[in-house]
Parts: sequence; structure tokens; C-alpha cells
Amino acid sequence: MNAPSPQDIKEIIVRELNLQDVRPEDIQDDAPLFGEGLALDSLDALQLAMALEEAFSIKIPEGDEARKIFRSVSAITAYIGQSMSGAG
Amino acid sequence: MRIWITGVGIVSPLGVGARATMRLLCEGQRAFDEVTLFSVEGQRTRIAAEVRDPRFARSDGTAGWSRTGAMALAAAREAIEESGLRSGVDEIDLVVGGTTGPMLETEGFLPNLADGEPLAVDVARMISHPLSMTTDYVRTAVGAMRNVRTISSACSTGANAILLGALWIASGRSKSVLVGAADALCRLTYTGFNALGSLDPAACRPFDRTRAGLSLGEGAAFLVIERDDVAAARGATPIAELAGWSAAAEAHHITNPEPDGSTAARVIKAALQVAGLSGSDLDYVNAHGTATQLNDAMELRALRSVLGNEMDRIAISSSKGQLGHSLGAAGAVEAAVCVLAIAQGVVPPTGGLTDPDAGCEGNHVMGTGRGMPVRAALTNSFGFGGLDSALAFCRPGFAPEKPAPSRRPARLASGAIISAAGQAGLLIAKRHAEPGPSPAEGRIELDPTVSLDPHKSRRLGRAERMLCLAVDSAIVGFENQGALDRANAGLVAGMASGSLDGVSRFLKKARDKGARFAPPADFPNLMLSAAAGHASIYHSLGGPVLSATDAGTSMMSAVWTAIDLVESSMADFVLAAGAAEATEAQFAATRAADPAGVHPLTEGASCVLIAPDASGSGARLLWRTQWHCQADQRTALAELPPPVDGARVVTAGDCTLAGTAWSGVDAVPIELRAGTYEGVDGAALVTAASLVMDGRCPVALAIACLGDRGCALLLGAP
Repeated sequence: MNAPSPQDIKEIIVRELNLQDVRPEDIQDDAPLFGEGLALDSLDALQLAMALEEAFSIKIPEGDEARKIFRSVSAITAYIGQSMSGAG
Repeated sequence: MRIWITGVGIVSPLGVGARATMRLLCEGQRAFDEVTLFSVEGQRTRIAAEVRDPRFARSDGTAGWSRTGAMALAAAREAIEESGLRSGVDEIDLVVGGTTGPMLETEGFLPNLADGEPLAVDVARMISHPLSMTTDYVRTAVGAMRNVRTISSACSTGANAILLGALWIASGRSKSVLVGAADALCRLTYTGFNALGSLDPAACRPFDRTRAGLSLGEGAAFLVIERDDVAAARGATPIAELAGWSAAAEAHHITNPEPDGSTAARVIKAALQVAGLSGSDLDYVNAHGTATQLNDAMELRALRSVLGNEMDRIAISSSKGQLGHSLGAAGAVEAAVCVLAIAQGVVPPTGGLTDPDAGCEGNHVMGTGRGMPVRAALTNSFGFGGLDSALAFCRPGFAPEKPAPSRRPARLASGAIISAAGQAGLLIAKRHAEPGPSPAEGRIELDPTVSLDPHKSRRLGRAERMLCLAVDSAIVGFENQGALDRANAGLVAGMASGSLDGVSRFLKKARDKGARFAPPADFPNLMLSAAAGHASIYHSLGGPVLSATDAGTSMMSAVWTAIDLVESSMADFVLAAGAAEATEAQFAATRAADPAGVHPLTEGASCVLIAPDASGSGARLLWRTQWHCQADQRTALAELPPPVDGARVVTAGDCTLAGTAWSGVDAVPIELRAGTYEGVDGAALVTAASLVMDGRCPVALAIACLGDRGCALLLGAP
């Protein structure tokens, strides 16, 4: 499996969180996702973590570490890329 | 008037019996152990607090049996026996709460629905699925009951069942009410709380610095509550008094509590106010205390904001550190603990608590129980969707006496409907009484010009969307919107079975991919009370919010409950709303409930706004009746006032008015234009209301007869 591109992550965000008023291309790579920006919340974070773990066979840590990973699409993409190369 | 508690019954993981449970609680015993009821492979914990008594081990094949039902019945019988009430002699009403009901028995086959094999589903077990089965089981076994209601509001269900019974007594509708709740453990809630990351891998530790989430439990508790003069007249003595009650919605988030605890504080304050008590009268608080980070800090903040420095004196504990969180049952179990604490002069500890966290400071009872006089006690319950409740109990005679039972009249002030015949307010509703095309089976077309905020509604399923749209139309159609204070307006959702499809998909994914891939955001929506919670959040409704669930007449029961809330001045405006979505699972449930049904299976939603009768237009409620088995139908309709000239009837289901003065009146079956779905009883009611409000007739009778149940409301022009 290839490491995901930022576009792949954006598509997962829009699909999994049922964002009806947002298109994947509307999301900026470095924009904040939680609180401000897309205004996602902790329940969205849990859903997104589950979806990413399932799609890329990785493990996303909980708590403060997850907060860093979920800062932006770029951060998520980078974390998954590292996890997949580390695992492979 | 006072409300006496004359009987208490508990089935808990520590023991069967109220006194046995209380003794073991005060000894400091904890009931957590490896789960034996189902596989917990792949979950973050392996433990829960199970009821291990062999009487509740598994189904003996009796129709309607479930662990939940069996535990409910044992607790209900214990309470009734202690009270000395005689079924068939004394007038007894019944309110039962739950969130899981027979889920443990039905969840085994529910993933099959998501496999696309609806026909493989066992119809008999499908009929056993609704939460109201628990109520039916208790009603049938304990004996004749007059008014019967099943309610759900997630983890405040038990408290709200008691609250509703109190309203019935305070409004003069009831003399003696058996009130309580029961919930058995099941894969669905275990997997769901696991997905939310809410389960502590070890036994939970409420308020502790090291707390890491909740531990699940199960059980049942019932109280007999009675008007003091009625109880005294038959020689009963009070164990304690139910003095205060309150419920309100945070309208904040479906799973996360409002961080500042302001609604919880509002509810605590209001319960004390109803009781006529102040913080200096309270000696004990049985906290909700789930042991999640967010709940415990919020709850202590709310308590301290109301009780101030009294918090350093008032003993506090959470029973969940010993019994686990029994979800819908918890509020009833913890109310029963308060009653026994007052009666016995001892308060139980918080199991697992050794080092109270910063922000959770209080006069914590730790280790074993504390013997102390308890003049008055308070218990909190907070449910998903921000559905908060508080109850206050005291020694008999300690709180000021309440005024004699009274109620104010209520009216249907506005309504809305979404059906195959159209979508919007009352103008559309009238169409159901006029000739027109019959609907096609399946989904209806929703008006694309009326939509919800896309971000706020992203977690809503189709049924919840329709429900929110119907609520919106009912509010918009109300003539006096300036008077409608949303922060205090309530909502009662009428839901027969919750999201069967959602449950099926969730369980299938957990089964096929493993527990850790069960979708967390889907879980809260699988509670029957989710639609009410979502709608209160979407529309910022901050009054009492709960769901009524009564199989085919759930929407009628929701309207009744909304009327109960307005009559007893719990809220000035209460919306009652119901919705059902056309899906294979929903159709399977509808067919199971009505195998002989000939009408096209569709979907729809309806909503009515109940307001005090003081002024304004709408339809006045002239008379109402409800029955829960067909044998009672004739008796229930015996007192139906005769029709006047021009009266109309709107029916849902297979209704007969033969033998009443209404037998010759033209009746319009709602299904001709709307088809049939769970909640079509609401469409019949809104149509009848619309005919009256529009001046088409002086009185209209809405009557629903679905399965064994029935309900009739007679409406008149103001």
C-alpha cells in the first residue's frame, strides 16, 4: 500500500465526518482542523482515527500525541507516511 | 401534599434485593469481574459489573423474556410487596425506563439485517426488540396497571422515570405509581463505549486523580411513590419522601458535557427549589460520578456552584465505583440508594477512590460506608445529548408540604407533518383528510428548498433530519414565537425502536472487522434517545428532553408526555416529535408488528407544540385515553364523550369505534395518503389537530390502534 497524499486524507475527512458543505479541495493542507478551521470536535477525532487506522493499517496514539497528529492535513499525512515506512 | 416512597426494589451486580445491595455497598464491595455474557475480544477492557444471580442467567424461551425484563420484574415485585399495594384493588400506574431493553437477546441477529438478509430475521424476536417489551413484561406479571409509559433519555432515564411518576402525582393524575428502570449489559453498549474510548481497562475510580473512564454495569431498581393521604389511608408508612425533581437539556453536544456545568447546576438548583430545601438541609449527594475525565470535573463544579461551602460538609459518593454504570437503570438505582441512606442513616462510599483529583474536591466517602443521619439527599443523572436530571429525597415530613395536586389545561398550539402527501405545517396536514393519490412504497421526496445547516446536522441520520425539520416547521407555524423561550422549551420524541439499521451496521462492522473498528461517531446515534438529544442541540431547546417509546403508539405517548410536562408546569412549551426512515430493517420491524398490514410502507415525521391553554389558537385537548392490550380497548373508550355535529375522526392502524357513539362518524384512515410507518399515529393526530385549527370541524378524534396498543385524543376548537 502506498503512503497517502494530502488529497487522500482530505477525502477521508469529508466522507467519514459527513461534511456536507465542504469539498476535499476546500481544505488547506496546513489549516487547523479542530476548534477553528473545519471546527471539528473530539467525536470527529475518534471517528477519523478509527477510519485512518482501518484504511492504512496503522495505530494512532491517544491523548496529547493524537492532538499533534491531528493538527492539520499535512501533519496527518506525514504521521501516516512515517508509520507506514516504519512498519514496512 | 407529599410524595411518599413506600417500596424499594433493587437488582444489582452486588445482590438481589434493595437491603442486600445497600449492605454490600456500605461494606465497600465492588462487583467488577471478567465479562461472561458475551465475547469481549478486541475491546480495551475485559471487565464489567454483571448480575450473576442464576435467575437472570439466560432466556428460558418464555415470550417477551429478556435479562432486562427479568431484572425489572424482580425489582418491581420487591417494591410492590414492600409497599403493600394490591394489584387489581389499588389504582396503580407504571413508568418504566430503559436504554438497552432486550438488546442482548436481539443483537445476535441484528447484523444479519446489514448482511442484506432481512428475511432471515426471526420475526418473533424482532417483535421482542422494542424497549417497551420490558414494560409489557412487568405490567403483565405484576398485575393490572392504569396509565403505563415507557421512557428513555440515555443515562438519565432512571431519574426521568421517577420524575414523570412524580409529575403524575403532583398533577392529580395518579395516586400510586410504580416507577423505575432496568438495563442489561450488551455487546452494543460495551462496544460503543469502547469505541468512544470511555472504558477504563481496570475497575473505574470516580473522582480519583488516576481515573481513566467508566466501567459498565447492569441492573434494575423500582420505587413505589404515592400521594401521602392515599398511602396513609391504606395504612402504609413512608420509607422516605420524594421532595424535588428537575430535568433540562444542555443543548451542547451529543457525547460531551457542557464544560462549565451550567445546565447541571440549573437542574440541581431547580430540584432543590421544587423540594423547598437549601444546601444546608442536604446531608448526602449520590453523584452521577461516571469516572470519565469530563463528567466528574463538570459535576463537582456544578454542585459547588449551587451548594457553595456546604459542599465541604455534605457527604458525596458515586455508586458506579462499585456497581458500574448501568446506563438507563443507574438513575433509578442511585435514587433507591438515596432512599435507603435516609432510612438507614448510612451512606455508601465511592469504590476505587483513594486520591481525589484537583477540581473534584469534596467530602468524599471512601473505603466503607459512613454511619450518619441523612435528613435530605440529592442524586444527579446526566445522559448523552446533555439530558440532565436531579432528584431530591428527604425524611418524611422534613421538606415543606406541597400544594394540593393541580394541573393547568394544555392545548396543541402548532403542528407540522412530513409525509408522502407533502411537507410543512398544518395546511399540508389537512390534505390527509382529503381524497388524493395513495403513496408509493419506500422513501418519500423531501422538499429540497427546506434544509438544515450542513455543519450542525452532519451527524444526523435521515430520521433525525426529518424530525428536526418537523420541529422547525412546528416552531415556525406557532403564532406567538416571541413567547417561545427556547432555553426553557422541552422536547419529547416518540420513537418505537431507534435506529435498527444503524445498530445493524455498527454490530456488523464490529463483528467483521473487530471491536476497534466499530465507528465511534455512530454509537451515540444508536441510543433510542439520540433523536431527541440531537433535536434539542440543533434547535437549542433547553427544557426537559426525553423520549417516549410505546411500540406503534410511541408518537401518541410522546404527545401525552409533553402534555404531562406542560400540565404540571415543568415547562411552558414542549414539542412532541417523531420520525421514521424507510429502510429494509425498519420495514422488517413494521411488518413484524403488523403482519396483516395492507398499506404501503413509507416514512415520515410529525411534530406538535404543546402550550398552556391560557390563550391563543390551536386545538384544545378535551379528553384522552390509552390502552396497552386489546382487552382493555372497550373499557378505555367507554367514557369517550359523544360526538357533536360535524365531528371528524382520523385513524391510524386498525381502529374500531363500534359500540361507541362515534361508530357512525366518518373516519379517515391516515394511511390512504401517508402510507404506514412507525410514528404514523403522529400524522393522524396532527391531521385531526389541523382540521380543528382550520375550522373544518368543531371536534376531531385522533385514534391509533397499532398492535396491542391504542390511544385516542379528542380535540376541540379553542
